Amino acid sequence: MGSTVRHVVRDVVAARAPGELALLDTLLVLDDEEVGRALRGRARRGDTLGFGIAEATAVVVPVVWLVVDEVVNRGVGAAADSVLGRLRSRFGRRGLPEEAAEVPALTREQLVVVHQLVVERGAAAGIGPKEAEALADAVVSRLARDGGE
Amino acid sequence: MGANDVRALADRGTVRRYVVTLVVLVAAVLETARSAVRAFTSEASFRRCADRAGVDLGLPAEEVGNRLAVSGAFTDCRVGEEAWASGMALAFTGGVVVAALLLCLAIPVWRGRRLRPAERFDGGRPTWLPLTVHLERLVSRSELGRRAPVFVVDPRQHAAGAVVFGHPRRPTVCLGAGLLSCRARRQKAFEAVVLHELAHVRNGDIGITYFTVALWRVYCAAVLVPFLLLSPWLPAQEQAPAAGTLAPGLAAALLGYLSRAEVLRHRELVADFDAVHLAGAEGAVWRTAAEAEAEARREGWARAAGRWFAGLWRAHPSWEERHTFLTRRGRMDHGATGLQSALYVGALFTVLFTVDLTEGRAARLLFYAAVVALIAAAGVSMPRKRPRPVSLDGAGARAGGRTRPVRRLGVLVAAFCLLVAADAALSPFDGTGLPDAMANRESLPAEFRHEPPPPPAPAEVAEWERAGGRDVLDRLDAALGIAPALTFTSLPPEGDEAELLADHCAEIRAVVRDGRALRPLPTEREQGLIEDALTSAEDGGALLCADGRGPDDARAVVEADLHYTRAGTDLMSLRLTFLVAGLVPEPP
Repeated sequence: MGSTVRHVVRDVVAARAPGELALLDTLLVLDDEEVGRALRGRARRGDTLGFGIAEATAVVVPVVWLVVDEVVNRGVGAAADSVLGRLRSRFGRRGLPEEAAEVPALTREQLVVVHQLVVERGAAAGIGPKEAEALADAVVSRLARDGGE
Repeated sequence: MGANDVRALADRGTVRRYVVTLVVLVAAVLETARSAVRAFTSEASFRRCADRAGVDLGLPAEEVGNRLAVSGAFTDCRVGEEAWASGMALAFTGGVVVAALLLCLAIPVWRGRRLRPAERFDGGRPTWLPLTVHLERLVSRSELGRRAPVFVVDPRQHAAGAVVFGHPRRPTVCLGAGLLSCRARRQKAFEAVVLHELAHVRNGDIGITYFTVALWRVYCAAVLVPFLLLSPWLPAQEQAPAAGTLAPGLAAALLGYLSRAEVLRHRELVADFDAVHLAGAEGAVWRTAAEAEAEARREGWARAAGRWFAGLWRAHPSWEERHTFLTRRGRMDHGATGLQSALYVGALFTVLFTVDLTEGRAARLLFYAAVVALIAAAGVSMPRKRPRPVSLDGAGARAGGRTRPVRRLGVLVAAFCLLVAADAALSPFDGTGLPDAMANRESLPAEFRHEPPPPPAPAEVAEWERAGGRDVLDRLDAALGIAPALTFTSLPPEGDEAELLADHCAEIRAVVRDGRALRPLPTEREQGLIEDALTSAEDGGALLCADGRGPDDARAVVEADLHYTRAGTDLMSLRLTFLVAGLVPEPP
């Protein structure tokens, strides 16, 4: 049996950002769809009687999860650009029994695209260029290992 | 003077300030509901009452207005309808409060539906200290007594924060996934956040805070937004609320929001204080955050003013305020802050202006309760002229939360009962008072309202007077004065009489001629008055000056006198109109 999104992400986070493992483990009580939504959504602040510290708790996890999830569930860049695809991904699977999709074998070109995506989104999330490269390498090597099995 | 004094100062009067906030919000609901009910029902009520008074609305408008003005049945009916409308507004307000209570109960259920129990995350890092054990230790440090909360985790919340909600006796502390991830790396920060939430539990902040929040939300959803949406349609109604009548409701809402935010900020400061000084949270967490905030802050007075204004509306103080409060020592009691006083005075005026004592018993009871609440809050809402040292008896960082002075509560309840009893004994207005009747009289639809035409513009009158009007009026006044001389006892000597009369006849003819030659006055009524006066003077003069009759004919003299009197009355009316228009002609 191949790896699922959560296997891949957990391995990468454990290797590159162990400080975020606790957050990831908490998130993993949700199903994949909900994890994606939680990571895409903004953090709630200013609740009545709420209190919190300004702490960047999730930097690597959202980047890695969202890229890997896209690769697995929608194909590399394929569905991402079509409105129909986006709608389908948002509403289409709702209500069906959740079965975590396995990571498919990716071609060399696809892995290059994934690498590029991680670097871009990592930079957007405030990860330094070197760390982003290293993170992208880790993601690609983990995906390649899975595909090679 | 120690840390506890600071806490005592901040904690003082919280419940009373909350109550003032609630009173203001309820007043806002009542005021807006009343405007709305009146606007929607008064046209139908007017037609019903006119029908009951037997006045046919098909008659000319002025006739209808006059008949209704003297109809007791109509006034009684309108007062009755008004009382019904007030009752509806009160019932609606009661409904809003009940809805807020229900919402208060529903919020925890709604929020709790997607949360997971904390036990499920016991295996997380640090593995040597399971989450629930860690939380239990924090609970025991917080001296919660029997109010130990249930801990849950929100896996979707990736900010490093927590929030408390739920039933005051069975509170729920919800930890964000982001906070759990801090537990291994920044244990002190994790503890500070949890201890802060536990301080809210210990201080009994949950029930009243969430009720205020719920009341505000219900007010927005069920009162404010529908009313604003309907407001374009309201002017088409017979008794549309003018912008001025909407203002008290909106002002009260604004005030309610501001004072809610103010009380909440204070509860946050007190919770911070308890977390650090009572439960031993690390003060450095606050210091670090305040320093980070200061670094990110941009300077400039405009930005500072903007920050201050935005801060007024927030339910959370800035990190700088939090840190300053935590490290403050040895304060004197200066009484309330300027903001608290301003909000209090605003609340006072709002209540005075929104609750109408003539509206019936229920409204009066509400008013008395508001008065008692405001009197109770007066002591904590005004600055002290002479600061005094803080005394620690009765308030301070003690286990069990805020003090609940039973005696003071007793006095307030007694004051309320006294007011109610006095009300029952005196009962000056029972819904049929004079103000209501007046209000109803004034609220006839415009088409049936009989209003005098507007007076001429002062500038136009002045112009008319300059163009000879003043001269004609004065001369006419003087000429008309001859009538008593002719009729009554003070007759001038024989020879002079004929001369006097000849002069008078010449003068009256000249004045009438000059008067007719004047340009017309701008308004119809005033022009009519001057024309009538001239005609009457002419007629009187003709009787007096007719050949063969003259002043020897007693009948002619009396008739002439009548004409002159009529002319004099018209002149008087005209001068009165000018007076109203803002012009005071010099007396002749």
